Amino acid sequence: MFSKKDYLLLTAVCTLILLAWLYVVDFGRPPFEPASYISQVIFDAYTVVVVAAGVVASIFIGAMVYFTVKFRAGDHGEGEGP
Amino acid sequence: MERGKVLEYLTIFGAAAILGFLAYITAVGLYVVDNYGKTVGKAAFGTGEYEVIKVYARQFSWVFEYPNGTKVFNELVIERGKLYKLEITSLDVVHSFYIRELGIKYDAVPGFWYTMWLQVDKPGVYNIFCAEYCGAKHYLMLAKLIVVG
Repeated sequence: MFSKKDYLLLTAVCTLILLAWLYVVDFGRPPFEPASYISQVIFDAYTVVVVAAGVVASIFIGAMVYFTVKFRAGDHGEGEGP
Repeated sequence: MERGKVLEYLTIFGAAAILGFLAYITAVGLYVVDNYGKTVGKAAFGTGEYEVIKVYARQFSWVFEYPNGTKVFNELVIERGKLYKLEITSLDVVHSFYIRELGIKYDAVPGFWYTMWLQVDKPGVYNIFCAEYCGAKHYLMLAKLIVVG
């Protein structure tokens, strides 16, 4: 049911979403040049959180998009109700 | 173990690992930020090698009280690289002391004092905002942090 091609496509979709996310958040770079050690700590946490959120979101959204397309209703009866 | 189970466990424990890592990073960062004055050189806290500046928030301005008792409205002047302990409170409603460029934000709550350690290494002028809606003129509650040196 789930072939190697499916895994590859799912991985590709998730990777694309992750890349789009990283582009939008400027690859986790802080919005300002840290002006002190305290700011450095805060902006480091920002980078880690925004990248980790991107990983989780890309897997979730990627799987949702891929499964929505793969198991959409078609002529073969899949996806139909009882 | 069947493949489905492996994927299920990977999802559960993978998510738990990511959340645990984020919690660790956050906890360590919060500890460092909140205890900065106690940890930096171990000397600052014990010998008072820092200046205490009281910050009063009120509708719709910031009041900064220096150690010699001078009170200044909407302008805080500090030296580059020097450590300051800001004690923040509010005189009326809840406000929030926010310096965007430094990434710091502390609530100002009536009846409570919050400690914020401040050390800025880059001279310049930074905007201080109120980040908690505090009334009709909330948008006018602006101040400047001027770092000299």
